[in-house]
Amino acid sequence: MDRDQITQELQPIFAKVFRNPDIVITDTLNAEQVSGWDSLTHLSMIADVESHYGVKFKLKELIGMKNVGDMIDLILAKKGAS
Amino acid sequence: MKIRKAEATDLPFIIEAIIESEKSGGDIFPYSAALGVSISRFSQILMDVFDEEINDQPWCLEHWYIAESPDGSAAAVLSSWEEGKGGVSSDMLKAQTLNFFLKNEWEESQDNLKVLSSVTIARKTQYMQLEHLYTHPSHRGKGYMKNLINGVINTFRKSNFEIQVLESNKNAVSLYEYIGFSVNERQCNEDIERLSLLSGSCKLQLLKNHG
Repeated sequence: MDRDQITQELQPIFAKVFRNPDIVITDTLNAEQVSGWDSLTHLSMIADVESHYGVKFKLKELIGMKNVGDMIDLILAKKGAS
Repeated sequence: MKIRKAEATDLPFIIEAIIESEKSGGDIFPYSAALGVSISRFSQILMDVFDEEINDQPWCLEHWYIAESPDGSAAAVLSSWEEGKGGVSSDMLKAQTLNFFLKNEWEESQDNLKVLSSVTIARKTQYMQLEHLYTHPSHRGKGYMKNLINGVINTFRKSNFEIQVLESNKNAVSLYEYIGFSVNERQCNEDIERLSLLSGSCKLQLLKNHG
């Protein structure tokens, strides 16, 4: 599993949660840049990501996420980077 | 009157302030109404959240200020933090924290949460937020809150300030306007009052800009 693979896998999750099929996933993408990314949709997205990868984020990890890149870093750390 | 930063021994008064200020002058405690948790359980969760020391959101001891009465007791209290300082909004941090501690209740209350989110007003980044403003009932009518707000404003005198409050809490709105805040945005949803989720159906964002 590498960064590009995770980025590709996140696209359909984000497209579904934020109801935007054309959303482009980048490391710097954050809530301010996406219409409809509020606290409720954010938590739906986190739940879908946790389910997809079979991981569980800690509270400190959740509150430390500033953008998609931070989340990918955490997924890589939990799943083991290849 | 002395104004000071809060200490761990103030936590019982701070928890009381959060509970009572969330009621916003009415009888409805929003977290009980929306998530179905009792006030006593929510108070314990608040203690757990304070233990986590999560900055940039209201439930962090670092951000609380106390106005003391002459006998040294805590008369009034508020939480003040710079919005978005760490790159994430305080609403997002609070939601993540509540979701973490109340995962089942959160997932089972999506309909209520969606109604509540309809009156969410995005807090202004870099504005100093004033939240959970509360005066102990035995100290009301003595100017403690006015002096506490002005004291915090003087502490961060180069900043802009924001308060969010229910429009139905008319005494609070009058005080904030008297101090120099003015309404910037108003969001309403009558379903909120119909479902008894808040004590009023309209939320106000009041701002006081520097200079």
